[in-house]
Amino acid sequence: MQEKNSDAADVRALATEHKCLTFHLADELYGLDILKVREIIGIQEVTKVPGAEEYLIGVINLRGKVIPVADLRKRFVLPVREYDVRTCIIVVEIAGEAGPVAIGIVVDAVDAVVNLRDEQVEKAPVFASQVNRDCIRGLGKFDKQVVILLDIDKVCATGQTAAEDAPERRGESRN
Amino acid sequence: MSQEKVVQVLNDLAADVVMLEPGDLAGLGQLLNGLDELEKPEVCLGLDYLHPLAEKLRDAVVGIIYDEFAESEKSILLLSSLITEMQDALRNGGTSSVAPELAPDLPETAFGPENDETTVVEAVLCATPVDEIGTDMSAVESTAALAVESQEEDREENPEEDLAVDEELFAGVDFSQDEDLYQGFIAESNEHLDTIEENILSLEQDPENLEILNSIFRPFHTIKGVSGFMNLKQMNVIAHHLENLLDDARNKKFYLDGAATDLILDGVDFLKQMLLQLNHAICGGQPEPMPVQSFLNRIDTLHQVLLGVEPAQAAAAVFSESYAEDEVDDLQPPPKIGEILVREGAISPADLEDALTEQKTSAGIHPEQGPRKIGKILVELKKTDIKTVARAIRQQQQPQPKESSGGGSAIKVDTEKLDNLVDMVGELVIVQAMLKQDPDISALTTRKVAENMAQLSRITSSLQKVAMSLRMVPIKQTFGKMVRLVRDLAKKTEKEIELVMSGEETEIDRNMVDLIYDPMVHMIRNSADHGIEKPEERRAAGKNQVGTITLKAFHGGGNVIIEIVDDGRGLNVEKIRKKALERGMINEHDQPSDQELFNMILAPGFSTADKITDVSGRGVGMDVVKKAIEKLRGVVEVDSTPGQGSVVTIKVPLTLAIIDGMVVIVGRERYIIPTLNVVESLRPLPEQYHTVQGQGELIRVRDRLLPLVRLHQVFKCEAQTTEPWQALVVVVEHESEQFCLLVDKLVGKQEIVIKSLGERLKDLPGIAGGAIMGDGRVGLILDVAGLVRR
Repeated sequence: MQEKNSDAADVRALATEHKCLTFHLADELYGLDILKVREIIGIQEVTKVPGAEEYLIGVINLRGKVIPVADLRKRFVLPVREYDVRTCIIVVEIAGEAGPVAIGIVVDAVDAVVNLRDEQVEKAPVFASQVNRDCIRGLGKFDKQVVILLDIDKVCATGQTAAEDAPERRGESRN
Repeated sequence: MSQEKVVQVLNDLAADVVMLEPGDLAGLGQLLNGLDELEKPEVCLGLDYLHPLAEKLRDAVVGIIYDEFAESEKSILLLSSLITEMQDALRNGGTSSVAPELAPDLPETAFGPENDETTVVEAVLCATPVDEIGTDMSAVESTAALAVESQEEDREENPEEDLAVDEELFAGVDFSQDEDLYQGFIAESNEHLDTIEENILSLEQDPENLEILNSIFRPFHTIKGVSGFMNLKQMNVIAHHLENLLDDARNKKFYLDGAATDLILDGVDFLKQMLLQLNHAICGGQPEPMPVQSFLNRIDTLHQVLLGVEPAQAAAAVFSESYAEDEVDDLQPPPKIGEILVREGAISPADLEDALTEQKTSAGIHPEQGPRKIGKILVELKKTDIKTVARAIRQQQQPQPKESSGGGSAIKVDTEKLDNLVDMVGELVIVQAMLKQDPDISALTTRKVAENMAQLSRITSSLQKVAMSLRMVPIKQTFGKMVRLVRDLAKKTEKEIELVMSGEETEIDRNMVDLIYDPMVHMIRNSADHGIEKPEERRAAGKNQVGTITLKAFHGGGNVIIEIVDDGRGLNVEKIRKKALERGMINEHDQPSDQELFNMILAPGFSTADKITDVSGRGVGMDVVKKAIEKLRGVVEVDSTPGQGSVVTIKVPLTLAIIDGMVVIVGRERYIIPTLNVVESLRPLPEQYHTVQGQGELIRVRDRLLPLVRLHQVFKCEAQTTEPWQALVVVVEHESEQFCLLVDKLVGKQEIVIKSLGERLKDLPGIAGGAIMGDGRVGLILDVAGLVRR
């Protein structure tokens, strides 16, 4: 019950009208709160960091700052594929221990910026996607498309490895 | 028309007064100019009723210029009240005959030593809304009477004292509103308190120096003001009381002796403690109660004592004498007003003579009033006019206190912005290098392009230099804090110690300043406690009974070198040897050199002090120093001559942000090994390679067998070669433990700027951070210590 309430609060938190950056990953369309997005850059060579969590594929130089890069396909345990010209790194700001920190997320392609009104957003159903439900803020519907709105803070939270999510995900999909 | 003009002038005056601060002579001068304007016949034609008020206003301004009011802030309030009256009078078309009576009779009372009247007026003004003045006379009178009564009871009464000072700290303050504001206040106040600390020690040597007194008074004043504004009542009260004490000292009611200096230093500590509590409270903690009331009582008691023991009429007389006679004593006070006026040709030397005679005579008639100001006498004798005197006084005050940090003006910049700038400049350098090496651009043979490229690289490299220098600050600040430390230590250990400093201008990385502070404190404590002997002991040894600790800073070989030298008894080699034997650090047959023995005191838990004092001697300290300095990639060395003293040398790199690194390649990745850790690199022969059951792989380097760590295995990447005799090994060292790292290739040595990998990737074993390489990509810096632990 409590969880439901907090989910409802999350949905409400998506203001009345809401700008989202949408992007493609595998076969789905995902969305991010535009306020979380700092910039979008092309894919570039990433320096591997040994010992880091699996989905953190390394670090890049963003104009003099070293920032980590997460591969969302790896994060959600989707089939890995070669990067191509449309592959992008979306630099987002997530909550850190001492203020926001920048992190890059690799996506297949960036789509558009869309306006979503409250009534267009629904709470995520249990078997919504292959993504852990904790990371989803809701489902947005527009132009006959469905966009999975991600809570990027939770997606990139420390200790959230793909391996940990995997059993839960499998359990959900059996439901 | 004239009325409009007057209204405008008055409005200007009112605005000027609002902006006026005590001691702002330029502002006062402007007021005088405004008054001149007002008194021009064509301006105030038919507004004669303004004249008396304008006269009073002028007198008040003049009084302030002469510094004749005890509390300059109150006198400024008086100015504004007078201007308000004039405005009111103007509005009522001169019917407000009340106003002139209400204004104090300045020439007689306000110039006297006691200016109760002004404070009464002020009290009235506070008690009665300004617009009621002149309309409700009875109310004014009764309030004034009350004010006089209450003042007779207690002249020093402060509204703040009504509050229960021992109530919970920061009660009723809402930090959530303006956290930044409070944080800013804490930072600023701490700086102010540091300034006070530095200055008060120079005051002790020169108690009559008004400049120093002012430089102590001002920060307290600021803290008082801001804390009041921020509703931090207890801080406000303490700062206020200390300010009062200093104000009386400023007004030569007494001189600050050792006890007073101690009290002020304690006050500084007390306020610092309060700031800590405040910080704690902002972070959501519960502030601990502090003995605010008892501290206030301490201040007041001392204040009364100081007031009671008049600085002996004689001392005052001597002072006035020297003032009057324009003697330049060894304190080198600012030039005298009379001198300035003569130099400027405003008065003749004969005029000055007259005035000085007059001053002496009047001092003889009314000794209790103290010396009259020479400027005022000159004006009274019609030798010159107010404005000239005001200008002269301004000139006299021009040489600002020496603490205004010499080199031009400075602004405070957020370190994050600074880091951003440095980052961007680093990128600019990389892009510039890329452009320069671009084959298409190099293919161009146009002279113009070549010239522009050269210009670009010149500008980028000087920009880089400037950006790096922004982080550097003089070490002066850290040294300054030691003055107080040495003073306290000398008191505690009953020794006489003098601190001599040199090279305070030596620049060091901003981040380094804080990190180097603690080690320095430890070393100085040791010098004061163990090094310097007691005065009698020193006399017996034929030394100056005042011991000297010398702090030196200078640049050398890309490092900052700090030397702490004392002329005390030096280290006892035999004692150290005995202790080292006891602790098993050496054995009977070892013949360590003195130098080696001295450096053993840097080992953990090593203390040769016979008894533990509360200053030092517990054996912690020296190893803490060593650890802290090593963390900064620096070294500590100790040297000593028995009977002559010891020298501790701390050597730290100029900045924490840059290291020398060896760039190596493993597979497709590049890694940087800090040069500090690199011993040598070699390509082993197959016969140098050994495997030991259960021990892994070893490489024989000359006579030693060193473990082999395959970087590609540790970091799980593909290496180009896996056979050590086809690749390279780099021998690295950490805390005298050596091992070999297997790498594919060695690229070279270069200076790199260390970058953090961010909180998501910190504390990874074997990785110390990242660096941006010449091609704009990130290279990882190896943490050799972390690799050992694997």
